[in-house]
Amino acid sequence: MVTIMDWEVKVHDKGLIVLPAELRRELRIRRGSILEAQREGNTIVLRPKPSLLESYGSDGKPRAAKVIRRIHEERRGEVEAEGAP
Amino acid sequence: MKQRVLLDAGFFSVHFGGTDERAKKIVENAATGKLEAYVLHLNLTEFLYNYAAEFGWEAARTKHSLISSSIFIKQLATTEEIALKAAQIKLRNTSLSLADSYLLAAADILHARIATTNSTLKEVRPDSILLKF
Repeated sequence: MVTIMDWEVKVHDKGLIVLPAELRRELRIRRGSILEAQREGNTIVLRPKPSLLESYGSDGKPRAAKVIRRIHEERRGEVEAEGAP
Repeated sequence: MKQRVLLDAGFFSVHFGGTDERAKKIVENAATGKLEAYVLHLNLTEFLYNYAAEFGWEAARTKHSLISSSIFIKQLATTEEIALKAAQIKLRNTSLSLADSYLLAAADILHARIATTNSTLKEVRPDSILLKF
């Protein structure tokens, strides 16, 4: 079940709003987080976009290691090619 | 002055792969302003096409979007100063690739530590953070 909670936020200069700390904590919204804003009539919906911080470990180790090995091999190959007669 | 860390191409795979918690810590500290994180466009390119070769271009675009929207990671274009310094470094160290040389040059100029998966860089610049994968 989705819990609906309400907060009041004040709009400051240039449209700045401060999200309540409790809300930020629960939704893991931090400095630098990006929110998507969507207008539905008179309603504004803010959705946190997935962030770099939350994406730690999202790919799994074996395939990530494969990408790193590719990078290393390419750099090594370049050096070896330069040394080739 | 805040500590500066220059992220190598492999850094992002370590982060997305979850192979070394220090990568996560670097991102956390950059996000909260405890350190300054940088990446060269050149290394970002390297990461993206190698990532795309494994995961596909759409997945690489998603990761690029995650990195780009992280405003606490400053992306650096190549400057003439970096190019000249990289050329000197490459001339002195024949075991270094062009990407390695650019990374070392930018790190020198920024007075930054390098977060890398490349042990050759750690040998040349011992204060580098060598990440596990």
